[in-house]
Amino acid sequence: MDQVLLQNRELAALVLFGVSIMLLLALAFVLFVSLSQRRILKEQMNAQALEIEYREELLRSTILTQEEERRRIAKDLHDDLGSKLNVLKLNIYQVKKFTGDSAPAEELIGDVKSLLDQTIHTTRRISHELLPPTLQDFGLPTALEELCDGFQRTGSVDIHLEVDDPDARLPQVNSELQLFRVVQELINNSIRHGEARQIGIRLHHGKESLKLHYYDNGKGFDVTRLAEKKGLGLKNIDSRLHLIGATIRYESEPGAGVTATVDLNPVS
Amino acid sequence: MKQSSIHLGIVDDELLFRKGLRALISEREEIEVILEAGNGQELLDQLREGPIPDVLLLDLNMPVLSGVETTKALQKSHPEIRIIILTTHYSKGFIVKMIELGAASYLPKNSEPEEVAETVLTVAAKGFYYNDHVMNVIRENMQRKVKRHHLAHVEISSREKEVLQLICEQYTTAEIATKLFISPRTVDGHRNNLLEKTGARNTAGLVVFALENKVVELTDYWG
Repeated sequence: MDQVLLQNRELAALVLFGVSIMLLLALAFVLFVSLSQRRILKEQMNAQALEIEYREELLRSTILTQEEERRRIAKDLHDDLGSKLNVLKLNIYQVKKFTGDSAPAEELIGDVKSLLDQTIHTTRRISHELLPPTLQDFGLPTALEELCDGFQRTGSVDIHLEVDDPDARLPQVNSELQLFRVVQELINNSIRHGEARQIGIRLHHGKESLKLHYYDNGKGFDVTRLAEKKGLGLKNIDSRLHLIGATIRYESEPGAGVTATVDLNPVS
Repeated sequence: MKQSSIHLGIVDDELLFRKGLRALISEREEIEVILEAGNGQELLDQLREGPIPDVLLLDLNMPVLSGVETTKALQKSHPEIRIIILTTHYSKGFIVKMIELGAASYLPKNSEPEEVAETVLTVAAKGFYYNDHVMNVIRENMQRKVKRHHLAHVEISSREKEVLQLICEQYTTAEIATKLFISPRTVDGHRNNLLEKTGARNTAGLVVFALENKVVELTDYWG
Protein backbone atom coordinates (compact mmCIF):
# COMPACT_ATOMS: atom_id res chain seq x y z
CA MET A 1 0.00 0.00 0.00
CA ASP A 2 2.75 2.33 1.05
CA GLN A 3 4.70 1.48 -1.99
CA VAL A 4 1.78 2.18 -4.28
CA LEU A 5 1.28 5.53 -2.57
CA LEU A 6 4.93 6.34 -2.99
CA GLN A 7 4.81 5.39 -6.66
CA ASN A 8 1.75 7.59 -7.16
CA ARG A 9 3.47 10.52 -5.48
CA GLU A 10 6.52 10.14 -7.66
CA LEU A 11 4.30 9.96 -10.66
CA ALA A 12 2.44 13.07 -9.58
CA ALA A 13 5.69 14.93 -9.00
CA LEU A 14 6.90 13.77 -12.36
CA VAL A 15 3.71 14.92 -14.07
CA LEU A 16 3.84 18.22 -12.22
CA PHE A 17 7.45 18.65 -13.23
CA GLY A 18 6.64 17.88 -16.86
CA VAL A 19 3.68 20.21 -16.90
CA SER A 20 5.65 23.08 -15.46
CA ILE A 21 8.47 22.55 -17.96
CA MET A 22 5.91 22.63 -20.74
CA LEU A 23 4.30 25.74 -19.27
CA LEU A 24 7.66 27.40 -19.06
CA LEU A 25 8.41 26.45 -22.63
CA ALA A 26 5.06 27.77 -23.76
CA LEU A 27 5.68 30.99 -21.87
CA ALA A 28 9.11 31.32 -23.40
CA PHE A 29 7.63 30.70 -26.81
CA VAL A 30 4.91 33.29 -26.33
CA LEU A 31 7.44 35.76 -25.00
CA PHE A 32 9.75 35.10 -27.92
CA VAL A 33 6.99 35.52 -30.48
CA SER A 34 5.68 38.72 -28.97
CA LEU A 35 9.15 40.18 -28.61
CA SER A 36 10.11 39.43 -32.15
CA GLN A 37 6.78 40.72 -33.36
CA ARG A 38 7.36 43.94 -31.51
CA ARG A 39 10.80 44.19 -33.04
CA ILE A 40 9.45 43.63 -36.53
CA LEU A 41 6.79 46.26 -35.91
CA LYS A 42 9.39 48.69 -34.69
CA GLU A 43 11.54 48.09 -37.71
CA GLN A 44 8.54 48.58 -39.94
CA MET A 45 7.73 51.84 -38.22
CA ASN A 46 11.31 52.99 -38.54
CA ALA A 47 11.24 52.17 -42.19
CA GLN A 48 7.98 54.03 -42.56
CA ALA A 49 9.31 57.09 -40.77
CA LEU A 50 12.35 57.03 -43.02
CA GLU A 51 10.09 56.71 -46.04
CA ILE A 52 8.00 59.70 -44.95
CA GLU A 53 11.08 61.74 -44.21
CA TYR A 54 12.53 60.77 -47.55
CA ARG A 55 9.36 61.74 -49.36
CA GLU A 56 9.20 65.08 -47.58
CA GLU A 57 12.82 65.74 -48.42
CA LEU A 58 12.16 64.77 -52.02
CA LEU A 59 9.16 67.10 -52.24
CA ARG A 60 11.13 69.90 -50.66
CA SER A 61 14.06 69.60 -53.03
CA THR A 62 11.67 69.21 -55.96
CA ILE A 63 10.03 72.51 -55.05
CA LEU A 64 13.34 74.27 -54.61
CA THR A 65 14.81 72.88 -57.82
CA GLN A 66 11.65 73.73 -59.71
CA GLU A 67 11.69 77.31 -58.48
CA GLU A 68 15.38 77.68 -59.30
CA GLU A 69 14.79 76.36 -62.81
CA ARG A 70 11.83 78.67 -63.30
CA ARG A 71 13.89 81.62 -62.16
CA ARG A 72 16.74 80.73 -64.50
CA ILE A 73 14.51 80.22 -67.53
CA ALA A 74 12.58 83.44 -66.81
CA LYS A 75 15.84 85.36 -66.54
CA ASP A 76 17.29 83.87 -69.73
CA LEU A 77 14.09 84.53 -71.60
CA HIS A 78 13.89 88.09 -70.41
CA ASP A 79 17.53 89.14 -70.39
CA ASP A 80 18.86 87.33 -73.43
CA LEU A 81 15.96 86.72 -75.75
CA GLY A 82 13.73 89.66 -74.84
CA SER A 83 16.34 92.37 -74.93
CA LYS A 84 17.80 91.10 -78.24
CA LEU A 85 14.33 91.13 -79.77
CA ASN A 86 13.99 94.77 -78.82
CA VAL A 87 17.33 95.55 -80.43
CA LEU A 88 16.13 93.76 -83.57
CA LYS A 89 13.02 95.91 -83.63
CA LEU A 90 15.09 99.10 -83.47
CA ASN A 91 17.33 97.80 -86.26
CA ILE A 92 14.32 97.19 -88.48
CA TYR A 93 13.39 100.85 -88.09
CA GLN A 94 16.88 101.81 -89.19
CA VAL A 95 16.71 99.53 -92.23
CA LYS A 96 13.61 101.45 -93.24
CA LYS A 97 15.76 104.49 -93.92
CA PHE A 98 17.56 102.71 -96.75
CA THR A 99 14.62 101.16 -98.54
CA GLY A 100 13.22 104.46 -99.77
CA ASP A 101 9.65 104.33 -100.96
CA SER A 102 9.68 100.71 -102.08
CA ALA A 103 6.20 99.37 -101.37
CA PRO A 104 7.20 95.68 -101.14
CA ALA A 105 9.99 96.58 -98.69
CA GLU A 106 7.55 98.66 -96.69
CA GLU A 107 5.13 95.75 -96.48
CA LEU A 108 7.83 93.27 -95.53
CA ILE A 109 9.15 95.56 -92.82
CA GLY A 110 5.63 95.96 -91.49
CA ASP A 111 5.24 92.18 -91.28
CA VAL A 112 8.59 91.74 -89.55
CA LYS A 113 7.70 94.45 -87.02
CA SER A 114 4.37 92.95 -86.11
CA LEU A 115 5.92 89.47 -85.83
CA LEU A 116 8.62 90.90 -83.59
CA ASP A 117 5.99 92.58 -81.42
CA GLN A 118 4.10 89.31 -81.03
CA THR A 119 7.30 87.45 -80.15
CA ILE A 120 8.32 90.14 -77.65
CA HIS A 121 4.88 89.90 -76.09
CA THR A 122 4.99 86.11 -75.83
CA THR A 123 8.50 86.12 -74.37
CA ARG A 124 7.43 88.62 -71.75
CA ARG A 125 4.27 86.70 -70.89
CA ILE A 126 6.09 83.37 -70.43
CA SER A 127 8.86 84.99 -68.42
CA HIS A 128 6.38 86.77 -66.13
CA GLU A 129 4.29 83.66 -65.63
CA LEU A 130 7.39 81.73 -64.59
CA LEU A 131 8.40 84.35 -62.07
CA PRO A 132 6.54 87.63 -61.59
CA PRO A 133 9.20 90.40 -61.54
CA THR A 134 6.89 92.48 -59.33
CA LEU A 135 7.48 90.04 -56.49
CA GLN A 136 11.21 90.58 -56.43
CA ASP A 137 11.11 94.34 -56.88
CA PHE A 138 8.10 95.32 -54.79
CA GLY A 139 7.22 92.36 -52.58
CA LEU A 140 4.21 90.19 -51.84
CA PRO A 141 1.36 92.76 -51.58
CA THR A 142 2.03 94.27 -55.01
CA ALA A 143 2.57 90.88 -56.62
CA LEU A 144 -0.69 89.58 -55.11
CA GLU A 145 -2.51 92.68 -56.31
CA GLU A 146 -1.32 91.93 -59.82
CA LEU A 147 -2.23 88.27 -59.48
CA CYS A 148 -5.76 89.07 -58.27
CA ASP A 149 -6.11 91.63 -61.00
CA GLY A 150 -5.31 88.98 -63.59
CA PHE A 151 -7.98 86.61 -62.22
CA GLN A 152 -10.46 89.48 -61.85
CA ARG A 153 -9.95 90.35 -65.49
CA THR A 154 -11.17 86.90 -66.56
CA GLY A 155 -14.59 87.96 -65.25
CA SER A 156 -15.37 84.53 -63.78
CA VAL A 157 -14.52 85.37 -60.19
CA ASP A 158 -14.63 88.39 -57.91
CA ILE A 159 -11.46 88.70 -55.84
CA HIS A 160 -11.11 91.15 -53.01
CA LEU A 161 -7.62 91.82 -51.63
CA GLU A 162 -7.01 93.75 -48.44
CA VAL A 163 -3.49 94.68 -47.41
CA ASP A 164 -2.50 96.52 -44.25
CA ASP A 165 0.88 97.65 -45.59
CA PRO A 166 1.29 97.67 -49.39
CA ASP A 167 5.05 98.22 -49.16
CA ALA A 168 5.81 95.55 -46.55
CA ARG A 169 8.68 93.20 -47.33
CA LEU A 170 9.51 89.90 -45.67
CA PRO A 171 13.11 89.32 -44.58
CA GLN A 172 13.35 86.24 -46.80
CA VAL A 173 12.65 86.60 -50.53
CA ASN A 174 12.00 82.86 -50.62
CA SER A 175 9.17 83.28 -48.08
CA GLU A 176 7.53 85.83 -50.34
CA LEU A 177 7.82 83.51 -53.32
CA GLN A 178 6.42 80.47 -51.49
CA LEU A 179 3.51 82.47 -50.05
CA PHE A 180 2.79 83.83 -53.51
CA ARG A 181 2.69 80.28 -54.91
CA VAL A 182 0.45 79.15 -52.04
CA VAL A 183 -2.10 81.90 -52.75
CA GLN A 184 -1.90 81.04 -56.45
CA GLU A 185 -2.69 77.41 -55.60
CA LEU A 186 -5.51 78.37 -53.20
CA ILE A 187 -7.15 80.53 -55.85
CA ASN A 188 -6.76 77.78 -58.45
CA ASN A 189 -8.37 75.27 -56.07
CA SER A 190 -11.22 77.65 -55.26
CA ILE A 191 -12.01 78.18 -58.92
CA ARG A 192 -11.34 74.71 -60.26
CA HIS A 193 -12.64 72.47 -57.46
CA GLY A 194 -14.77 74.81 -55.40
CA GLU A 195 -16.35 76.66 -58.33
CA ALA A 196 -16.16 79.75 -56.13
CA ARG A 197 -17.51 83.07 -57.43
CA GLN A 198 -16.06 85.17 -54.65
CA ILE A 199 -12.64 85.09 -53.02
CA GLY A 200 -11.28 87.28 -50.26
CA ILE A 201 -7.65 87.64 -49.18
CA ARG A 202 -6.42 89.67 -46.24
CA LEU A 203 -2.76 90.27 -45.43
CA HIS A 204 -1.78 91.33 -41.97
CA HIS A 205 1.87 92.10 -41.28
CA GLY A 206 3.45 91.89 -37.86
CA LYS A 207 6.99 92.95 -37.11
CA GLU A 208 8.52 89.92 -38.78
CA SER A 209 5.43 87.76 -38.92
CA LEU A 210 2.58 87.55 -41.36
CA LYS A 211 -1.00 86.37 -41.14
CA LEU A 212 -2.88 85.60 -44.32
CA HIS A 213 -6.64 85.08 -44.22
CA TYR A 214 -8.26 83.46 -47.20
CA TYR A 215 -11.87 82.63 -47.90
CA ASP A 216 -14.05 81.61 -50.80
CA ASN A 217 -17.76 80.97 -51.26
CA GLY A 218 -17.28 77.72 -53.18
CA LYS A 219 -18.40 74.13 -52.57
CA GLY A 220 -16.12 73.57 -49.59
CA PHE A 221 -15.04 70.16 -48.29
CA ASP A 222 -15.13 67.94 -45.22
CA VAL A 223 -12.22 69.05 -43.05
CA THR A 224 -12.34 65.86 -40.95
CA ARG A 225 -11.43 63.84 -44.02
CA LEU A 226 -8.51 66.11 -44.85
CA ALA A 227 -5.93 63.73 -43.35
CA GLU A 228 -6.95 60.75 -45.52
CA LYS A 229 -7.52 62.40 -48.87
CA LYS A 230 -5.31 65.33 -49.60
CA GLY A 231 -4.90 66.22 -53.25
CA LEU A 232 -1.58 67.07 -54.83
CA GLY A 233 -2.40 70.76 -54.64
CA LEU A 234 -2.95 70.76 -50.89
CA LYS A 235 0.16 68.63 -50.32
CA ASN A 236 2.10 71.10 -52.40
CA ILE A 237 0.80 73.93 -50.21
CA ASP A 238 1.82 72.03 -47.06
CA SER A 239 5.34 71.42 -48.35
CA ARG A 240 5.86 75.00 -49.43
CA LEU A 241 4.71 76.35 -46.08
CA HIS A 242 6.72 73.72 -44.21
CA LEU A 243 9.76 74.91 -46.14
CA ILE A 244 9.49 78.44 -44.72
CA GLY A 245 8.25 77.44 -41.27
CA ALA A 246 4.66 78.54 -41.78
CA THR A 247 1.44 76.71 -40.99
CA ILE A 248 -2.01 76.56 -42.51
CA ARG A 249 -5.40 75.82 -40.94
CA TYR A 250 -8.51 75.06 -42.95
CA GLU A 251 -12.09 75.60 -41.89
CA SER A 252 -14.72 74.26 -44.20
CA GLU A 253 -17.88 72.20 -44.57
CA PRO A 254 -19.44 70.82 -47.71
CA GLY A 255 -21.44 73.65 -49.21
CA ALA A 256 -20.07 76.32 -46.89
CA GLY A 257 -16.98 77.58 -48.72
CA VAL A 258 -13.42 77.43 -47.46
CA THR A 259 -11.58 79.55 -44.93
CA ALA A 260 -7.83 79.16 -44.58
CA THR A 261 -5.43 80.91 -42.25
CA VAL A 262 -1.72 80.97 -42.99
CA ASP A 263 0.63 81.85 -40.18
CA LEU A 264 4.25 82.81 -40.71
CA ASN A 265 6.10 83.51 -37.54
CA PRO A 266 9.83 82.88 -37.90
CA VAL A 267 10.58 83.95 -34.35
CA SER A 268 8.49 81.32 -32.57
CA MET B 1 11.99 132.30 -81.06
CA LYS B 2 14.98 130.04 -80.86
CA GLN B 3 14.16 126.56 -79.64
CA SER B 4 16.93 125.24 -77.43
CA SER B 5 17.31 121.48 -77.71
CA ILE B 6 16.30 118.97 -75.06
CA HIS B 7 19.16 117.15 -73.39
CA LEU B 8 18.44 113.45 -73.18
CA GLY B 9 20.12 110.58 -71.31
CA ILE B 10 19.65 106.89 -72.17
CA VAL B 11 20.17 104.27 -69.45
CA ASP B 12 19.95 100.63 -70.54
CA ASP B 13 22.22 97.64 -69.99
CA GLU B 14 21.92 96.52 -73.61
CA LEU B 15 24.56 98.48 -75.53
CA LEU B 16 23.03 97.75 -78.95
CA PHE B 17 19.65 98.95 -77.75
CA ARG B 18 21.18 102.25 -76.62
CA LYS B 19 22.97 102.68 -79.95
CA GLY B 20 19.85 101.89 -81.98
CA LEU B 21 17.61 104.18 -79.97
CA ARG B 22 20.18 106.95 -79.99
CA ALA B 23 20.50 106.79 -83.78
CA LEU B 24 16.73 106.93 -84.28
CA ILE B 25 15.97 109.57 -81.69
CA SER B 26 18.83 111.82 -82.78
CA GLU B 27 17.03 112.25 -86.07
CA ARG B 28 14.79 114.69 -84.21
CA GLU B 29 16.76 117.88 -84.14
CA GLU B 30 15.03 119.11 -80.98
CA ILE B 31 16.59 116.24 -79.04
CA GLU B 32 20.27 115.87 -78.23
CA VAL B 33 21.51 112.70 -76.53
CA ILE B 34 24.17 113.86 -74.08
CA LEU B 35 24.53 110.80 -71.88
CA GLU B 36 24.54 107.01 -72.05
CA ALA B 37 24.88 104.60 -69.14
CA GLY B 38 24.73 100.81 -68.78
CA ASN B 39 23.14 100.82 -65.34
CA GLY B 40 22.00 103.08 -62.52
CA GLN B 41 25.36 103.29 -60.82
CA GLU B 42 27.09 104.34 -64.03
CA LEU B 43 24.44 107.02 -64.43
CA LEU B 44 24.89 108.39 -60.90
CA ASP B 45 28.66 108.45 -61.40
CA GLN B 46 28.31 110.37 -64.66
CA LEU B 47 25.86 112.85 -63.13
CA ARG B 48 28.42 113.70 -60.48
CA GLU B 49 30.94 114.62 -63.18
CA GLY B 50 29.21 115.89 -66.24
CA PRO B 51 26.19 117.69 -67.59
CA ILE B 52 22.72 116.97 -66.24
CA PRO B 53 20.15 115.84 -68.81
CA ASP B 54 16.62 117.31 -68.83
CA VAL B 55 14.99 113.96 -69.55
CA LEU B 56 16.06 110.37 -68.97
CA LEU B 57 15.01 107.19 -70.73
CA LEU B 58 15.43 104.60 -68.00
CA ASP B 59 15.31 100.81 -68.21
CA LEU B 60 14.17 98.94 -65.09
CA ASN B 61 15.90 95.59 -65.31
CA MET B 62 19.61 96.39 -64.99
CA PRO B 63 22.55 94.94 -63.09
CA VAL B 64 24.29 96.70 -60.17
CA LEU B 65 21.62 99.38 -59.64
CA SER B 66 18.14 98.67 -61.03
CA GLY B 67 15.81 101.26 -62.52
CA VAL B 68 13.64 101.17 -59.41
CA GLU B 69 16.54 101.99 -57.11
CA THR B 70 17.91 104.54 -59.58
CA THR B 71 14.58 106.39 -59.64
CA LYS B 72 14.52 106.50 -55.84
CA ALA B 73 18.08 107.85 -55.76
CA LEU B 74 17.39 110.45 -58.45
CA GLN B 75 14.31 111.77 -56.68
CA LYS B 76 16.60 112.66 -53.81
CA SER B 77 19.65 113.94 -55.69
CA HIS B 78 18.19 115.27 -58.96
CA PRO B 79 14.42 115.78 -58.65
CA GLU B 80 14.56 118.14 -61.64
CA ILE B 81 15.41 115.33 -64.08
CA ARG B 82 12.27 113.96 -65.73
CA ILE B 83 12.28 110.22 -65.91
CA ILE B 84 10.65 108.19 -68.65
CA ILE B 85 10.58 104.49 -67.81
CA LEU B 86 11.21 102.41 -70.93
CA THR B 87 10.85 98.77 -70.01
CA THR B 88 9.60 95.28 -70.78
CA HIS B 89 7.91 95.19 -67.35
CA TYR B 90 4.70 96.70 -68.57
CA SER B 91 2.46 95.37 -65.80
CA LYS B 92 0.09 97.21 -63.52
CA GLY B 93 2.14 96.79 -60.36
CA PHE B 94 5.24 98.27 -61.97
CA ILE B 95 3.40 101.17 -63.58
CA VAL B 96 1.69 102.20 -60.33
CA LYS B 97 4.87 101.91 -58.27
CA MET B 98 7.02 103.83 -60.71
CA ILE B 99 4.48 106.63 -61.14
CA GLU B 100 4.26 106.85 -57.35
CA LEU B 101 8.04 107.08 -57.26
CA GLY B 102 7.80 110.12 -59.53
CA ALA B 103 8.26 108.78 -63.07
CA ALA B 104 7.05 111.34 -65.61
CA SER B 105 6.09 108.70 -68.14
CA TYR B 106 6.02 104.95 -68.69
CA LEU B 107 6.50 103.23 -72.04
CA PRO B 108 6.82 99.62 -73.16
CA LYS B 109 10.25 98.89 -74.56
CA ASN B 110 8.97 97.93 -77.98
CA SER B 111 7.23 101.29 -78.49
CA GLU B 112 7.60 102.94 -81.88
CA PRO B 113 10.71 105.20 -81.83
CA GLU B 114 8.39 107.97 -83.02
CA GLU B 115 6.30 107.57 -79.88
CA VAL B 116 9.40 107.56 -77.68
CA ALA B 117 10.59 110.80 -79.29
CA GLU B 118 7.16 112.41 -78.93
CA THR B 119 7.03 111.37 -75.28
CA VAL B 120 10.45 112.93 -74.67
CA LEU B 121 9.23 116.21 -76.19
CA THR B 122 5.95 116.21 -74.25
CA VAL B 123 7.63 115.37 -70.96
CA ALA B 124 10.20 118.11 -71.50
CA ALA B 125 7.47 120.66 -72.25
CA LYS B 126 4.77 119.65 -69.78
CA GLY B 127 6.46 117.66 -67.06
CA PHE B 128 4.69 114.39 -67.68
CA TYR B 129 2.94 112.27 -70.26
CA TYR B 130 0.73 109.31 -69.38
CA ASN B 131 -0.72 107.44 -72.32
CA ASP B 132 -4.20 105.89 -72.21
CA HIS B 133 -3.00 102.60 -70.79
CA VAL B 134 -1.09 104.25 -67.95
CA MET B 135 -4.06 106.54 -67.24
CA ASN B 136 -6.37 103.54 -66.98
CA VAL B 137 -4.00 101.82 -64.61
CA ILE B 138 -3.80 104.91 -62.36
CA ARG B 139 -7.57 105.26 -62.43
CA GLU B 140 -8.18 101.60 -61.57
CA ASN B 141 -5.62 101.76 -58.81
CA MET B 142 -7.15 104.94 -57.43
CA GLN B 143 -10.45 103.18 -56.87
CA ARG B 144 -8.73 100.54 -54.76
CA LYS B 145 -6.49 103.02 -53.09
CA VAL B 146 -9.27 104.98 -51.44
CA LYS B 147 -9.86 101.99 -49.19
CA ARG B 148 -6.36 101.61 -47.92
CA HIS B 149 -4.99 105.16 -47.79
CA HIS B 150 -6.47 107.97 -45.84
CA LEU B 151 -6.95 111.00 -48.04
CA ALA B 152 -4.41 113.72 -47.67
CA HIS B 153 -5.77 116.73 -45.81
CA VAL B 154 -4.66 119.60 -47.98
CA GLU B 155 -6.40 122.93 -48.31
CA ILE B 156 -6.36 124.01 -51.94
CA SER B 157 -7.78 127.32 -53.11
CA SER B 158 -10.23 127.35 -56.00
CA ARG B 159 -7.66 129.09 -58.22
CA GLU B 160 -5.04 126.48 -57.42
CA LYS B 161 -7.59 123.81 -58.19
CA GLU B 162 -8.20 125.37 -61.60
CA VAL B 163 -4.48 125.41 -62.30
CA LEU B 164 -4.13 121.81 -61.12
CA GLN B 165 -6.95 120.73 -63.35
CA LEU B 166 -5.32 122.34 -66.38
CA ILE B 167 -1.96 120.81 -65.48
CA CYS B 168 -3.65 117.42 -65.48
CA GLU B 169 -5.08 118.19 -68.90
CA GLN B 170 -1.50 118.59 -70.12
CA TYR B 171 -1.59 122.34 -70.77
CA THR B 172 1.73 124.17 -70.66
CA THR B 173 2.34 127.08 -68.31
CA ALA B 174 1.83 129.58 -71.12
CA GLU B 175 -1.43 127.95 -72.20
CA ILE B 176 -2.74 127.90 -68.64
CA ALA B 177 -1.86 131.58 -68.27
CA THR B 178 -3.82 132.44 -71.42
CA LYS B 179 -6.81 130.35 -70.39
CA LEU B 180 -7.06 131.87 -66.91
CA PHE B 181 -6.13 135.43 -67.99
CA ILE B 182 -3.16 135.53 -65.62
CA SER B 183 0.58 135.84 -66.18
CA PRO B 184 2.81 132.75 -66.62
CA ARG B 185 4.67 133.88 -63.51
CA THR B 186 1.47 133.65 -61.48
CA VAL B 187 0.83 130.16 -62.89
CA ASP B 188 4.30 129.13 -61.72
CA GLY B 189 3.51 130.63 -58.33
CA HIS B 190 0.36 128.52 -58.05
CA ARG B 191 2.27 125.47 -59.20
CA ASN B 192 4.95 126.02 -56.55
CA ASN B 193 2.29 126.48 -53.87
CA LEU B 194 0.67 123.22 -54.98
CA LEU B 195 4.01 121.40 -54.86
CA GLU B 196 4.62 122.70 -51.37
CA LYS B 197 1.12 121.91 -50.08
CA THR B 198 0.94 118.40 -51.51
CA GLY B 199 4.53 117.44 -50.86
CA ALA B 200 4.80 116.30 -54.48
CA ARG B 201 8.28 116.46 -55.94
CA ASN B 202 7.36 117.35 -59.50
CA THR B 203 4.48 117.87 -61.90
CA ALA B 204 4.03 114.12 -62.28
CA GLY B 205 3.62 113.89 -58.51
CA LEU B 206 1.00 116.66 -58.64
CA VAL B 207 -1.00 114.76 -61.23
CA VAL B 208 -0.91 111.58 -59.17
CA PHE B 209 -2.00 113.55 -56.12
CA ALA B 210 -4.86 115.13 -58.07
CA LEU B 211 -6.05 111.76 -59.37
CA GLU B 212 -5.72 109.85 -56.12
CA ASN B 213 -7.45 112.50 -54.06
CA LYS B 214 -10.07 113.17 -56.71
CA VAL B 215 -9.26 116.87 -56.74
CA VAL B 216 -9.96 116.95 -60.44
CA GLU B 217 -12.80 115.33 -62.32
CA LEU B 218 -11.44 112.54 -64.45
CA THR B 219 -14.27 111.45 -66.67
CA ASP B 220 -14.41 114.65 -68.71
CA TYR B 221 -10.90 114.25 -69.99
CA TRP B 222 -10.05 110.60 -70.03
CA GLY B 223 -13.45 108.97 -70.04
